[in-house]
Amino acid sequence: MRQSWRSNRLIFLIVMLSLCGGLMLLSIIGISSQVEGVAATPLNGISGAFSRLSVSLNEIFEDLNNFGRLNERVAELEEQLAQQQVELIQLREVASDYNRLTGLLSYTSNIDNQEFVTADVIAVDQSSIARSIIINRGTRDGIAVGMIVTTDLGLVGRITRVSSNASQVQLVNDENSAVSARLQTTRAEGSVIGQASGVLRMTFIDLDEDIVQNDLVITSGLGGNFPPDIVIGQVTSIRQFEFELFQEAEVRSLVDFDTLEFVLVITNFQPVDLSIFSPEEG
Amino acid sequence: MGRYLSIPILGFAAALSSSIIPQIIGFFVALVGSITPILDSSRGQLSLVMLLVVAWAIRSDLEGSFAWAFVGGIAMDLLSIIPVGTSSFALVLIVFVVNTLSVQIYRVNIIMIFAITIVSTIFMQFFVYFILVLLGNSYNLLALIRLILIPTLIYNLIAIIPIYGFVRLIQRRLEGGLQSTPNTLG
Repeated sequence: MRQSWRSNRLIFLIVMLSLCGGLMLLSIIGISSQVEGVAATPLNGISGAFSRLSVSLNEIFEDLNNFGRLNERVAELEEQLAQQQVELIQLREVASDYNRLTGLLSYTSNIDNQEFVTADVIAVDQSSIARSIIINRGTRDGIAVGMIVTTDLGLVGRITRVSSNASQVQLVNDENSAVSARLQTTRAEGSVIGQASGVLRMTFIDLDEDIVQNDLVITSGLGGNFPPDIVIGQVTSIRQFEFELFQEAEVRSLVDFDTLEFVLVITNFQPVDLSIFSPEEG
Repeated sequence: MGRYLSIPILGFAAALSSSIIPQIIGFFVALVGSITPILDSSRGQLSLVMLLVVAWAIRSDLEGSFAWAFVGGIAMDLLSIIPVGTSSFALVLIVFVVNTLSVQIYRVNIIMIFAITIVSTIFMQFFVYFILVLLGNSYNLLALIRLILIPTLIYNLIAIIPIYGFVRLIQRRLEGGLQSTPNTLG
């Protein structure tokens, strides 16, 4: 009797594991994506409501946390504002020259042509290992896999999964994210990858290239997966060793990924499939 | 009844885990991060769904525990980048071991609950890591242990006792009184 009860437990376990394994397989292949989208709808709704509540909570916590540092920060910002105003005047001059010249060349900037959809962040990834967020826009709003997600402060990530009313975004600081990038002043090329700690690192920068602290890192557009000239972050430190073939720079994103509330999805950027240009095997 | 209750409870828990709880943990880390360097700049999260499932499995029958593991895993995976079914698979294995242990031990004590929490957290994190690696992703294992696993263990150990108390409260209400439970905590 006891033996039979034990074997029943084992059979029950095997049945459950097979069911879960089957679900995993369907999910990996992508067959169940529509069903998953429907099943996730109520969860996304609840998560969205909680997110709005957490935004309010976060603001209260932030205020409490930052209260002591606010005066110091205001003085710092006032000084920065004065410097920025000088730079703004210079940049306006450059912009007017640029507009005149591009008009002459009948060249249209990519940025001018970009179309955006605004989305609320409704959830962050349940597994702490992968870094992703869920936004409240899906195929109904014209969102598709591969589209680029940004904020006014810079690049956020790329759409990896879409349902009818929500999408999953792999953040740029995920360890498996890689973005072709360049430094704004020296134009040095490299690749920005995420780190386990959540910071960004720009790798594969030629040893001959100069890296300037605080230089802006922008997307280069190489590889066709990201449009060019989107801000990724700012260089905070440089790593250079004689025995290495390349140098690296630590990059701080201006986006605070932990407190993201709203994002912009670029809907008219089509990632380019370069695989057809790669030499055929065999 | 208990297995149907798993759907709203675990659904809400999953939604909380992906919205408010990270903010609360962020605030907690900001407060104590400077005195506990291990939590500073960590990315660990409280595994609320896993803890609810484990707490339920300690005093429930195997069928009920499997239902909680299955529903909890699906709820977690629907709000994550990992394939649906991954967390259910890990949770089913965890509740099987927890249930086997709890039917063989007369008194469930606090040490046992902590031990179950530690083993479950480590197993769950490594299982998800293993699946992500199988799918072609690569992660720095040592950094993940330092930045995710250890902080997650700390949060889970802090939270397991109130969660266990909450789950016992529901189970007692469902059972209709204290006298029907063979084991008691402590």
